[in-house]
This record gives sequence, structure tokens and C-alpha cells, in this order.
Amino acid sequence: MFLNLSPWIDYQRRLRMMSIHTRLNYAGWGFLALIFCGFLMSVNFSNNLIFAMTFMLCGIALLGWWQTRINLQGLNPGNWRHQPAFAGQPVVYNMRLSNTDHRPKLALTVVADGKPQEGLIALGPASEAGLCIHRQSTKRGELEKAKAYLKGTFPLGIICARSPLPDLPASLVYPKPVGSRPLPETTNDAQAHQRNEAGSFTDMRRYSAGDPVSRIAWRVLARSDEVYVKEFDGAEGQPALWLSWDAVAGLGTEERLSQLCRWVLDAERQGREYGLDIPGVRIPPASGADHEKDCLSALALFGVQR
Amino acid sequence: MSVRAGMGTWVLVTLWMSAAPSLLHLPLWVPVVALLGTGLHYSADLAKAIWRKLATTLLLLFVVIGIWFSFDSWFSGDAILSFFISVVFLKWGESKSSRDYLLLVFAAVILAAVGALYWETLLSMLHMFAVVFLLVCSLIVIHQGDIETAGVTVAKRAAWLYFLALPVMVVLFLTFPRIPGPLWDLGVAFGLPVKALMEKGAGDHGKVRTIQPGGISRAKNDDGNILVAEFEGVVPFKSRLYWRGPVFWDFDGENWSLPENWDNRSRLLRHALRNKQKFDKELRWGREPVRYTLRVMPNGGRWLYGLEIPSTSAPEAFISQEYQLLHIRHLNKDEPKLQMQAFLDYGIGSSIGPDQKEKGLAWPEGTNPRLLAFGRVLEEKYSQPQQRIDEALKHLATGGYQFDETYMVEPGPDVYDRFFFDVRRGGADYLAGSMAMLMRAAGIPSRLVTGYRGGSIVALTNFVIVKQSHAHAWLEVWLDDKDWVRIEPKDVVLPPEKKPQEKVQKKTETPIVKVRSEQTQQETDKTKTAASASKNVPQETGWMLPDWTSLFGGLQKWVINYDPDRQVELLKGVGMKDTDWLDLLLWAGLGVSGLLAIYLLFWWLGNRREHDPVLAAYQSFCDVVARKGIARKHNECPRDYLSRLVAAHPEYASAAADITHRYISIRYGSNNDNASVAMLQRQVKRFISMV
Repeated sequence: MFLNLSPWIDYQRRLRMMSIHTRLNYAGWGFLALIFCGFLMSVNFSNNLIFAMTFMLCGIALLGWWQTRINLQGLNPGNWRHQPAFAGQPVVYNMRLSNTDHRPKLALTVVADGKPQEGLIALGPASEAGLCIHRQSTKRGELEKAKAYLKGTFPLGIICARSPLPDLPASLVYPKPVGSRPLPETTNDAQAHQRNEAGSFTDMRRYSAGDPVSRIAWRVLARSDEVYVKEFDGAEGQPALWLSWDAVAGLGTEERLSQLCRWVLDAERQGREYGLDIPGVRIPPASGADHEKDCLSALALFGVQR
Repeated sequence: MSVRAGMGTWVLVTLWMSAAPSLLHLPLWVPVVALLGTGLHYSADLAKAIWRKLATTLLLLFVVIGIWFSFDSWFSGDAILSFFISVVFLKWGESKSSRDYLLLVFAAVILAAVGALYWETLLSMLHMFAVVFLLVCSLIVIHQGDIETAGVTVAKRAAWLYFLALPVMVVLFLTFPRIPGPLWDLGVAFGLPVKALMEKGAGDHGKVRTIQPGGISRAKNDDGNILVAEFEGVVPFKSRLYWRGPVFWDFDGENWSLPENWDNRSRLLRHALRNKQKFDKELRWGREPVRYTLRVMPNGGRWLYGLEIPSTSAPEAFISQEYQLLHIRHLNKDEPKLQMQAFLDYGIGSSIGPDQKEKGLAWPEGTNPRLLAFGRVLEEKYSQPQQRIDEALKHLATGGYQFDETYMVEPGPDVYDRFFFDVRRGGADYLAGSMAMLMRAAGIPSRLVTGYRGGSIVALTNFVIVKQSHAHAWLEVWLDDKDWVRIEPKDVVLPPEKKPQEKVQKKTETPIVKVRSEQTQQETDKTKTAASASKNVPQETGWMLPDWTSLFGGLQKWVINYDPDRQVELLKGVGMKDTDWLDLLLWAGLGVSGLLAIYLLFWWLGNRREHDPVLAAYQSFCDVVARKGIARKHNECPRDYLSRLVAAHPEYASAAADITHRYISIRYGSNNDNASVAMLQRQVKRFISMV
């Protein structure tokens, strides 16, 4: 390529992110009708006062349009953060929205996935606010990504300006954890070695991402400014469980997934090692937050085309 | 006070403000209903919903009864206004949501506009602007969300918007093409059958045979349409359009009347100027031909009201002996449409028979003795008829006469005497009639011509609609060397409020020339005032104390009395010779976008100043280095950037290090004072010049 288009594409993307679209809302059409009424009246009666009023309303509408745009300018959205949810629960998205402008931004609404969120956001000059969006999940699987934008009609309420926010990312929706069956005691012979269980102290090593916070050697940190984690030899726990598709025989697919989800949560809470064996996915026994997440994801995505 | 109550207060103030002037002149029960409606809104905690609904219904019933007793008609302006106000306040009584409030403030604006129809003064202008300001406040309060804001803050916010909108308003007001109303004229001009729009009885004005002094003024109250003319090319000055109707010779002391056999068709046709030869004999010269299409509404008579002086005839029409354009049938139902031609400037009349001369000099025995005596004096004093006319006009001009269309002199014998010597105030036909009689007394044959003068130009087109309200009367005198000459006493006598002394002096010229010279005079006057107005602007913005009377006079002139003519005159003042509505629209668009551009510019400049000088200085340093091939990455801290730079260009090491360290110490250290910022800027400048 002779031409490096990437800065241009980048610029276009930035423009699109910053672009503010305005249109008339219902009140705006009403206002327009008012202007039209005034115009007809003034022409019909050749009344200069009504002419003046009509033109004043025109001027106010024009400036209102501009002010409405300004009210959305200088907003700097961060990135969405979210946690997967269980089916039936809302997926919560969070974002920091900062106002880089010296004017306050008033009466903004977040519209996510076409639905305006409750409550109006007001941002002082050069300040930040947290946006929080609840998206209701209905069934397990993947909650698709969705468009989100900020909407504001301040000050006159006759013009609706919208400025795009980053898309709401897709989120996993785990099956609803229901089911009354007890944990199946089918083990794969091996005793679980619960590495994270505290036993006798063996070693100290540098912290790396993913280490449990509870293992951080706080004293060392206080002394040396370096983050170390303590390692233990673990403990001999209960035998590892196999949560398998066959163990939930006799139920429908979704019910099976729900029961397995319940078991995963129970097993994790009991601190046991467990493996998941469902058609197409086999996760060897382990425990911990990551493992739990892997299992739940596998359940969520069972049979789902990605 | 809750947020919603605060919102409500603004809306309520807007409502009362807009209704106030109307409430002053409406019957007393209207403000009472408004008060009760206001109270109803705040009774939500006191009474159950059902009781409040009941109260609203009862009040509505009360309003209906009130209208029944207070007004003659259900649809009279005041009745509708009372109903509208009552409904608005009752709606306020039950409104809760922001949407209700929105509806109410919009209604308030309409209410204010209706109020402005009643009195068009500077005071009502102030009222109008106050209402619009309150509208903006209300809109802001309604839409700012659940924030509790002090009234002052809201007003300040509204004021910003409002005062920025004012120049836009001024530009639009001055330049937006004005369509002269009323709007239904548009329909009439473009071929809508007028019969449908005309009231019953209005079509009989063509049957009138006699005219009483003051009759024309009475006819003016009628709003019926008479004719529509579409001119080819530019419409002439409205004051030059005389639509010729009945010509009266016979005055019996109280009424002017047409002869008994006047309407006899064969008599009319016998005397008509039916062929070109005959007509050319009458018309001695004609200038300024105008061509137009005439559409005449049914009037019950033969009248086509051709423009003076008609020079061609048309099928089924003829030009009478008295130069009227007449139809061969009575116009009872049809609206004839004719291609016409006329001369605005002409000399007409070949001879006057002895019987005509006698009729033109006839004086009913024993009537109007003072007028007769005055005429005799004129005849004795001046030998030339032209001198007598000039003298009479001079008398009218300087005698303190007032042109007042609505004023009626008490009818009865010697009405012209009383008008001419005592009252000195009245409409066109008093002037023309008494002048005609005065001419007779002075030995000049004269006759009274009635018809219409002027017309309203429809919406920037070349259509002219002539209405009953343009009814007019003038006179014609026979001068042996000039034949029939039109005399227009109305132009000599000016309406009471504008009567510049200089204009009065000029009326001693011959009547025909007079009309023209006066127009040119008016034109120059207009351009002069426009020019002086534009010249005055910089003076007014000086440090002088404003002269309030001139300010109000200016407002009166430029706001209340602003009209299409003044608009054209204004554009002439800025150097636009002829303007049509497209130019005006262009000007309006240019003006508004220019204003918006200025606002944007100011806004942009304001934003620029907000930038942190430290960041700006460092950024320019980074830009310069980037041109050397080392662009700063988004995730790169200044120190890392510096090390990369030093590795690549060791020659800049010391300067770059100095800048970077200063930057870091200002941004992240405690060294954040003006002196160090200035130092950083200086260093960056030095660096740039070095590179």
C-alpha cells in the first residue's frame, strides 16, 4: 500500500464517536406548529407584534438547537464493564462518563438497546459520573451486544440530541441455577488436591495476575514495596466430583443445564474440586473462581452457535 | 418546595402573564374562573379526585352560561377568547405531568398572540416579549430534570438563550418577505370563486343609484371584494389606481343621484364609445399604458370598474360616454374576466354640450349658501379657472382640514356648508362632493366620480384585490383647454397625525402633475428617512443619554408600523434597488446564518481559551519532535518519550530534557506557578526555533 489510510480511518472513527445527531421530538413538532400558527396569524392580520413573536420563537428554536448540541459536547465516555449474570437477572454495565467541558451537562438520558434508562444524569463542569445500565436477561446463552447512546433535550426540550456511547459488549448469561437434586458423588477415583487450601507454608513467589488476594503477603509488601504471594502445599480434600450430563438424566436440556449450574455453584461453595462433562465439552476437575467461570460459560454456551 | 411545584410556579406565571391583558377587557367572570382554576391545581391534597373533577365540570358549565349571557354570539372574538382562557386555566387545574405543562405554556403563547390582536402598542410589545421570555424559562424548568434550581439560575439560563435569539429575530423581522394579509385573498387572487366567500347582500352595491354625503365612508366598513386585477409587469403605485364607477351630475342639496333612465341599455349603447374612431376622438393623449386582467365580482349592476382611463374594450363590455367600463348585462351571478388596457396618464374629452355644461354647473336652489358664496368670490378674484382650482386646493391644504374616513357629519340640509366651514373633518366623499360644488359655484363645470382607489397587492405577486374598503370618491372638472381633469382633494388633506408642513405648500401645481410630483416626493422622503435611520444608529450607541421620545417614535415606526413598503425602503437604504421576495428570503437566510456563524466563532474562541497553556506548550514541543520522526505514542509517558528522543537525536538531549523535566514538575510536582509556566513556554519556543 502506498497510501496509509489508517490515520484517516481512525479520524473517521473518532468523528463518528463524537458526532451528535439532532432531531425534533414531539414537543419540537409542537413548537414548530406554534411557530406556524403564529406565522399564519401574523400574516392574516398583518400584525407586526405577532410577526415579532413568531420570529423570536424561530430564533429561540434555532439557538435552542445549538444549545442542545452543546449540552452533549465535550463528554468523554470510558469503557463498559460488566459481569455475567444468571438468566432472569439483569446484566449490569458500568461506565465512567467524564465531562471535559467547563459547562455543566444537564438532564442526559442513557438509551441502551433502544430503551431509555430511568433517571437523568447531570454532570458538573469538568467532573465525572458513573453510568449504570441494567439489561434484563431472559434466557441463558449470550446477551448480544447492543447500541447505546446518550440523549439530551435540555434546555428547551424541543430538540433531541444524541451522541453515541461505545457499544454495550456482549455478555454471557449463565443458566438459571435451579434444581433440587443433591450433588452426585461420582468421583474419578483421584482425590482432589486442593492446592489453594491453606496447609503448611511452602514458598513465596512474586505476585502474578490471577493469584488470590488473600494470599498476598501484606507484611512483605509493607516492608519492601514488592508484592509477593505465599504458597502452601494445599490439603487433601474430598474427592473430586464429576458433574456429568448423564447425572441429570431424565430432565429437559434447559433443566439439565440449570441443575448442573446449581451443582457448580454448590460445589464451588463447598470448596470441592469438580469437573464438568457435557456433550462437546469436558473440563477436568479443579476449583477456583476461574474454573467456576469456565464451567458456567460452558453451560451458558451449550448448544449456542458462537 | 418540590421540583414539580417549582416547575408549576413558572408555568402559572407564564399563564397569568399571557392572559393578563385579555383579562382586563373581558367580563369579570373570566378572571374569576381563572382564579378558581388556579386554586384547583393546588387542591390536590385537600379534596378527592372526584370532587375536583366535579368542580371542573361545574366551572365549565359556568363558563358556557357566562358566554351565553355576556356575548351576542357564540363565535364572537371575545366569546372565543373567554372560552379559550377558561379552558386553559381549568386545564391547569387538573394538570400534573410535564406534558400538560408543555401544552399549557404553548397555549399561553397563542393567548398572548391573540391578546396582541386587540391592541397593537409598544406596551403590548413588551408584554409579548415578557411572555416569550417566561416561555423559555418554563421550557427550561420543565426539561432540566429533577434538579432543584433557584429561579435566578433559570432566568439567567433563559436570558442567555433569549438575548442571543433577539438579533435573529430582528434580522428575520426586517428581511423575511412579508405577505400582505388576509390569507384568503390569496385564494381569491388565484381563482377561488369569491361568491362563496362573500356575505349575502354584499353583491348589491352595483344597484346603488343615489349617494348621500358620507355614504362612501359607511360602505368602507364592508369587507367585500369588488374585483381582482392581475397586472402584466410591475403593479403601478397603488395611489394611481382609480377604478372608475358611477359618475354623478345631479345634486339635490342632500343626495347625489344618477338619472332615472341611466340604466337604459339602448341609451347607454347609443352614447357609448364603441369603436376606436369614436374613442380616439375623445382621448387626446394617453401615456403609461398598463395591461391587466380584470375579474369583477357580481355587483348587481353593469359596473366593471375599469381602471382610469380604459383604452380598449372587450367582448360584452363597452366604454360609456362617461369613460366607465360597463358590461352589457347586469352582473348578478357571473364573474366576467376581461383583458384590459388603460392609460394612467391621459387627457380626455373632446367637447362639452350646452346641456352638459348646464348640468355641470347646476346648483340646487337655496342650499349650501356659504359654499356658493365662497365659490363666487373665487370666480371674481381669479380669471383663470386653473387659478380658482389651485386656490380652492390651497384652501383645503391650509384650512386645517382633516381626512378622517370614519368621521360622519350629521346628515341634513347644507351638509357641505357645515363640512366645509365648520367641521372640516371627514372622508373622501365629503371632500370630493364639497369640492365639486365649490367648483360649480366658481363657474367650472364639475361632476362627482365614485369608485375605488388603490387595492391590496396580494402576497408579493402582481395581483391586486380591490375591496369595498377601498371605496373612494373624487371629482372631475371641465377646463376648456384641458378637458376633463381629475381633482383629488384627498391628497391635499392629510391624515391628522402625519402632516408635514412642507407637503402642504406644494399643492399649487396643476392637479395632474401634482399626483406624479407628489409620488416622487414621497419616494425621496422615504429614502431620506431610511438613510437617516441607518445613519442614526452609530450615534445612538454612543454615550449620550437616550432620547426616549425618539426611541419610542423609532420603535413605533420600525416595529408597529413596519410593512412591506418599509421593508423595500429599508433594502433600498442598503443599496438594493429592486427587491422581490426571493431576494428577501436570501437576505433573511444570509442574515441568520451570518449571526449563527458569529455565535459559533465566539463559542469556538471561548473554548480555545480554556486550553491548559502547559499542555499546549508541551504539545507543540511534541509536534515539533514528531516532525523529526519520533511521534509520541498515546501510552507513552513524557520520561519514556524523552529517552526515546535522546536515543535517536542526542543533539537535542539537553534542551528536550529541560523541557520534559519542567513539564513533569509543573504537571505532577508542586512547581505550578505562573513563572515556571512562562519559563516552560519560553523554553519550548527556544527549542522550536532551534530545531
